[in-house]
Amino acid sequence: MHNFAGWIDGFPWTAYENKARDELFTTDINRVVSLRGGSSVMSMTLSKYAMDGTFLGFESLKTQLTLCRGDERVLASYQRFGSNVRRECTVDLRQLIADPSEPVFYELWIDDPVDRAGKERAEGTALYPVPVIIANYGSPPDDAPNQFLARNLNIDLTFASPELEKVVLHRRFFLVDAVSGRKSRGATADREDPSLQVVRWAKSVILRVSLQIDDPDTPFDESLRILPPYVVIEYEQQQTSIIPEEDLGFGAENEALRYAPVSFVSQYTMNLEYYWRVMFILMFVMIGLVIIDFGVKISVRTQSKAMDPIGIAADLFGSVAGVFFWSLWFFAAYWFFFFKLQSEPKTLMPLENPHHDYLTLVIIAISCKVLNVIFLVYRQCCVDIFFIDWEKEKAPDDGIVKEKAGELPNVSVWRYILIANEWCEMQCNRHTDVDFTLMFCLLFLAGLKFEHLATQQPSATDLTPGEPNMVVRFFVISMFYFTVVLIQLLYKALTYRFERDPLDHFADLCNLANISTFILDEELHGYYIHGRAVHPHCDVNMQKMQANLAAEAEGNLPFRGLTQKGEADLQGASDSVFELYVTNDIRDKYSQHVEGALRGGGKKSGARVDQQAAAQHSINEFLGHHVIDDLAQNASDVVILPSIAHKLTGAPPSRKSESAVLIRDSANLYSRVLLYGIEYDLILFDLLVFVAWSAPCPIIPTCDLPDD
Amino acid sequence: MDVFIAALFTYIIAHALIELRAKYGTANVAAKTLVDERFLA
Repeated sequence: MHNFAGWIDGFPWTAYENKARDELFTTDINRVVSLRGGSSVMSMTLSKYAMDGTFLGFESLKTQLTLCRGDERVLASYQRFGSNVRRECTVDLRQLIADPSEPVFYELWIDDPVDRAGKERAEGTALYPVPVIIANYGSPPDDAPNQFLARNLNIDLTFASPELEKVVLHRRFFLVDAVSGRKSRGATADREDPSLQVVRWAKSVILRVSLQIDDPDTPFDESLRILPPYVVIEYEQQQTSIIPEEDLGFGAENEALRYAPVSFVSQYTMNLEYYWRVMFILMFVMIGLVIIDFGVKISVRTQSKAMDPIGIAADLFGSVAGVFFWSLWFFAAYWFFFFKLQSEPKTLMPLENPHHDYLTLVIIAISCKVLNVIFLVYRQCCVDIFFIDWEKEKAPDDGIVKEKAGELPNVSVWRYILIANEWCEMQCNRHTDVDFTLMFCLLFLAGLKFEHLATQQPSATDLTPGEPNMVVRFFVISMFYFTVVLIQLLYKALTYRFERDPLDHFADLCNLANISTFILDEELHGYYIHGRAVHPHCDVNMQKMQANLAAEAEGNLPFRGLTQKGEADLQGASDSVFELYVTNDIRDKYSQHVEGALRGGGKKSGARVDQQAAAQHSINEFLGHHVIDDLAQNASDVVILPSIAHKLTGAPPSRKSESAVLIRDSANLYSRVLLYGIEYDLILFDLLVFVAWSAPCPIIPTCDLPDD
Repeated sequence: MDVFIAALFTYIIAHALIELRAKYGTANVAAKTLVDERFLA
């Protein structure tokens, strides 16, 4: 034997005398483990004993540790190294107590046939004893050294765990005991009544195997060898008198009294101290990235005088959600690639599933992204927008337009309504289709069963259903989600390039309708789509419209655009779409006009309709002839190209004079006030909502909370 | 949780967001451009 203290003196060896830390972290076991081939199977042996201690022989460990029955090959799959499996079922207590056989006691051994010198071990030392921790051993609350495991069976016992000081290790265990719960003859009034009062069974059995840490001073690779495995057992007992006699259906009130739930779990893990240390450092890097990202946004806002609290909140939540999401994604990618795609057992998962660090990160990311998107959409629904109609009243046959006092120009409103409708239609369109994305995600995850890539087996080809690891599952879901989304974005990019870009199309339509779009999304910042046509009139019949377009195509008219420059002069820059920085004076006057128009809202009386029409006309005149015309006249000074700083961070241009500035926008940045412009945020939002609803507690309030 | 349930809730939430954006965005356009909302189909 392996010189365990007291094993022979107190035979039968029921409990260890040495401290648990010394027994569980010894490096005596030499067997090398792998993920492929014969050494990937954790061959173990059971020695069996009768109740009176009679040795009943050895047998290879297969499925004896679980009371569940079924496909033996599936039940024994836990023996494949690295396969974290969970088997749960119920056992019929009536059947247990009806079995007249005595309980069998087991001792578990792990086969370790060869020593480090490569020699076959002598009989006796080729089997290494596997200790047992009985979670509910002792009498709580004072004398229950293993009780902490009963409260949370997933606690990882590391070398530094303080709980190890008091843990008591045992050797022998049983799975069912329907004998010792009989009333002793001396204790009962009726000496002839040997009836069974209490039945005991192993409610939860955990086999835990952990890798050693490599010692660089030895020629061996200890990281491919294991520490002594151990079994954690939690027993349960029940009075036989309350076990229902009749067969109960699923969901019956007393179902659990008759059909007791039992579980068997295999856990393969390793010392992850180094990983958590790196995680701790990366957490500070993450916080640093959030501060930098948010700091840049606040700096730009300060320079743009755009200190709207909701905008700042949207930026803050966006920064936190973005950094946390991508950090989480890279952590999850690490586990997926290094656990699922490994060829040698170098990376094993932490026991806690889902790990509390993952839960913290994902809950922060989800909460911040939800708030971020709500604030972004709210702000989009509050932008200041106006359509500037450049169309002039047509002169009558005598060529003289007679303006009557109090009357508005006789120009059709239908072009205006057309543009407003197009805008409304476009403002809630997205580049990707949620239905398409979800349909194909379901196809990959559920239809083709790729969701089982997240099971806790170190194999990317094994799609056997099983308990998923939530971190790996996050990566698997996001991997397929991003794949479907990227394919859509690629397809849309091609159609926008070779067919029609909806944002370009809207700018063209504005030009055909002779209407400009003026948008202010911040106090002094906004967008301007120049739609002033080069034709005298656009409110014309089809023949005239076609003639106008033909004349434009032949080059008989000035170029479209604010500065009416040709493509050679523009060199790819836009002359129709601009980012706009207005002055305080323009902003104040515009706000006064809008407030005046909105004042006295309510029922559409005749006077009210007249007032609104007049207000619309006055805003049209103000923006068209006082703001845009002024800018067009001083175009050489106020129409500029975006600087690199502006492209990278959105920093406002340095203004030499107190005038409004137009920045040529060849990227259609006005989409930022549409769902098109927050597509990236919406993609992350949808993905995180999907992850939240596919995750266990505590993200979903309707499912059961863990026991701890 | 089942991926089907996750997909269902994601579908509902994503479409609810788009509907809300359409409703309040249209109301905003009607208010700011002084076009009666009845003209914005």
